[in-house]
Amino acid sequence: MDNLLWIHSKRSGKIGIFLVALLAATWVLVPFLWAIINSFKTLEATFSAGSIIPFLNFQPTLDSWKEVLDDPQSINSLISSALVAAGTTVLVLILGTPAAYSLARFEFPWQSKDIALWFLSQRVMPPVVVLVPFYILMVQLRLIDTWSGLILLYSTFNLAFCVVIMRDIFRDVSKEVEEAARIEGANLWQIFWMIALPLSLDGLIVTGIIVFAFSWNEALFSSALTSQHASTLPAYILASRSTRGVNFNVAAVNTIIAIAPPVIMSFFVQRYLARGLSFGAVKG
Amino acid sequence: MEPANKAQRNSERLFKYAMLGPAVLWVIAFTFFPIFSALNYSFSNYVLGRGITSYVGFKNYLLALGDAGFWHSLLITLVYVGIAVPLEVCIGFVFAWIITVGLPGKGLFRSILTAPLFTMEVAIGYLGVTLFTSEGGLVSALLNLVHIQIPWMSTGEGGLAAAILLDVWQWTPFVFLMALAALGSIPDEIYDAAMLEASSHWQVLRHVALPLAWPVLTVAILLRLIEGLKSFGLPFALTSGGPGTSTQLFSIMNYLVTIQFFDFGRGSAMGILYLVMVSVIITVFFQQMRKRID
Amino acid sequence: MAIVALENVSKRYGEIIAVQDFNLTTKDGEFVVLVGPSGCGKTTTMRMIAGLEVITAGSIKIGGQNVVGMIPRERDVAMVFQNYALFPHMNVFGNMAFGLRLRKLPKRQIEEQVQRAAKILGIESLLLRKPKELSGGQRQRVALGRAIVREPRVFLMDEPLSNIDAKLRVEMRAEIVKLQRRLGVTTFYVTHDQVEALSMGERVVVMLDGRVQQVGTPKELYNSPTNRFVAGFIGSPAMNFVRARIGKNGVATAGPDFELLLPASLGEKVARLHLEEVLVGIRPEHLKIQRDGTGKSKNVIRARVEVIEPQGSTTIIQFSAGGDSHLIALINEQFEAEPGSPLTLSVASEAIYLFDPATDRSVQ
Repeated sequence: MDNLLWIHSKRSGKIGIFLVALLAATWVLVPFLWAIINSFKTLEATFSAGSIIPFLNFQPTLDSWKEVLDDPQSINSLISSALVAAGTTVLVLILGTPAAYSLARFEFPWQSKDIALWFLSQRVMPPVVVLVPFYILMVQLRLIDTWSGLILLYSTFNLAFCVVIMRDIFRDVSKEVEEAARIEGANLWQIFWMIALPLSLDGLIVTGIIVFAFSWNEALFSSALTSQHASTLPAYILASRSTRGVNFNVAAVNTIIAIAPPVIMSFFVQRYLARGLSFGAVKG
Repeated sequence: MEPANKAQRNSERLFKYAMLGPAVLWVIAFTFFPIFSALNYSFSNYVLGRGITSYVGFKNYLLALGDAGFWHSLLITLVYVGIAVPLEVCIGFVFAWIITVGLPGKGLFRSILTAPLFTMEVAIGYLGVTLFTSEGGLVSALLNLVHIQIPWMSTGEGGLAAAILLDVWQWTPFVFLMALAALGSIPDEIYDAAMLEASSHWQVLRHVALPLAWPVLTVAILLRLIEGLKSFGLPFALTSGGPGTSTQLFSIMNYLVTIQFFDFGRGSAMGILYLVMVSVIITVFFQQMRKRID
Repeated sequence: MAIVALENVSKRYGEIIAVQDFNLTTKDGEFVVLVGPSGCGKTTTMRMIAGLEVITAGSIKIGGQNVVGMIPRERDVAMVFQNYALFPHMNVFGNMAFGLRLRKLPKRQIEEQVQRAAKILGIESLLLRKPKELSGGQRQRVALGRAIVREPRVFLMDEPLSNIDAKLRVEMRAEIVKLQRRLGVTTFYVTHDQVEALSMGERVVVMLDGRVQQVGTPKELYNSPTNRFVAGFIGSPAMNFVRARIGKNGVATAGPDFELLLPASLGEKVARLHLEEVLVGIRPEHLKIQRDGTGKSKNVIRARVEVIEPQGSTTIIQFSAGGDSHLIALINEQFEAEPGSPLTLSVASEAIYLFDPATDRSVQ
């Protein structure tokens, strides 16, 4: 957008702004680059922070990558993370999307806004408050250290988000189009399944990705409710931090593996991101 | 009403409740149950392996309220949120403004600046150790160049500052993204009209952009506040709450009390107290913000 | 193909009356236009026929079968929407085949029926395109195609041409009428545009505030409107209304410059109704310029030109006729005059309409 503000800026102002932006980009990128560089260093090389240019300052090596990827514990937690996050995403979408559609389209004895607010209020509660009850519940259900246990929990935490944001997205589907489908002979379920859902696919994908990221990144319950089998990446990282200390090169590899999937996914869905993350407060 | 109409309405009613039902039941089951059950534990003496052995009234609450660690964690949490959130809001908004004003390469900057959003907090905290530690940490090394030495990892203040910096790194993009959307939804004509009247960017920012984006910023602040008060992974991975208990935010402290020491009664009581405090803070804040918007 | 019969159909939203006692029985294959200003209940009426709105009272029969309480699917009607309402995620074929697929017709039959409908509308080459790749006119055709492909008993069209540019609209009007004649399907067509209503409808229903004002052929509506609203709504520019006193000898007077001699039949009726005041209605196109007359005859208006609006071959003259009566004349020639200059206009006495000012009803 070439707006008047930019055109009428002084040259010095423009340069200043550009420098600030560059500085910001650097600030954001440095930790990523730091992790990437360290991941190719040997443990000894990581002690000299100044050597950052590969081949010139240090000899890049894949040793730390091999070390992490050969470790059954880290591979196991990677698989756990993927399964739990994917399972949560699917369950949340299956439960939340129909509810969101129902709230978006039909009238209820109470205001649809109120129930959306109620769903939203679930988010205020600090998870640690319900750590004990969930811990005991999981013990009783024999779901401690299982994937299903975590999926069940994470679905609970993310369901509200899915309902609120998908309700907002379904509201954008033209009512006229749904009526046309009705005239053509579709019943309520067919309208939802064949018209509303395909038309909201973008929003659905973004919602799914955000839910995936939330579950992928969750640390508190994963640490508390898993030990070996179902331990996800955050729990694995916290555990290895306290038992093995921090080796820069291994830490770097773990960091990259841990943050890459959601970050890469988010690049594909820039469009609805602001809207999704703000619970629909922003029409992005 | 004719019977046939009724049948049609009934099928609609069946459909809407059948669609809504599972999610509502799920949330009721898995949020009401734990809160009530947390309340229950908070009034009881819970022994691992034997369950609730007796009810002890407010003993757990009194223990919690008399616990210096509890108050300390509240203070630490407030400091953490009180510094990180305002920083994130200011920086995020200013960057959104810079991009909106028409910086070349907008799309690229946008993508770069939003990259930290979905990063795993634990991983960032973990990576943070390698950034801030005095033995080979990048930040420490850079500061050494200008002969500044900050004891990031060896003191409580340093650890908290490092955690806040990382929190700002991770969450400023959230405010940025929302502010960007808010500023972008203001029609160009309004900027153009404002530019004809105003003498500087600053005036347009102050008198046009900020007021128009304020409702969205409010939501951003609110959401950051909610999430900030729940912070766990990033500071815990960075400092493990240490040295000592100096960087134990509430969630970390409560987690340790509950899981490492298995003191379920006291942990639950602390959790309930915290929930009440958080609810009050959020509600008051929300009402204040709403007043200012109206 | 079916006769549609609406009896005392009413719709209320709480206290608000959207449609009150709508009565109409179509002929088989008739083209009925519902026309009126926005909010008059025409769209609600159509949606009740479609089954998108539940009726509050009355009955609707399609082909002799009471359809109240039936879902749209069971009514076997097709509808064309104002914004086309095409399914954006399906291509043209998918849009047209949607209803047939839901009815589980064999694949080959669906293919055949869609091809046939597409051929009728000339959109065979567009079948694989998505709606967003089509122009407005093409989308309109696809919407029509989706309606005709199922061979429903009734077509419902809700302002289908309001989003198309003016030139294409005139073409599409003719095309829809031709298509409807060819298929012979009973059709309801909603519009707010009286020109569209007159040019398309076999019968036109004029509505206001949820009530039917008049039902008739376009000619009947134009020639004998039953009340002031219909008279003013049908015809463009709109009819002039002047409040006048009835004098002796059946002369209607509104000031010294406006004296009209009523035809004998009208004069009698006015006398029978004991009306002292009437609203005189004159269509702008019935006013003629009197060049030689000095105003001897009783059917002239001595006017003062206010604004001249050349329309090409015709001219619209806004003028005042003493007092605060401001009228419009549509003259079938090019005409120039300075504002303020005097002008004499005449009107044939058969072309004078009278309305009772108390009830707005036509005096006929």
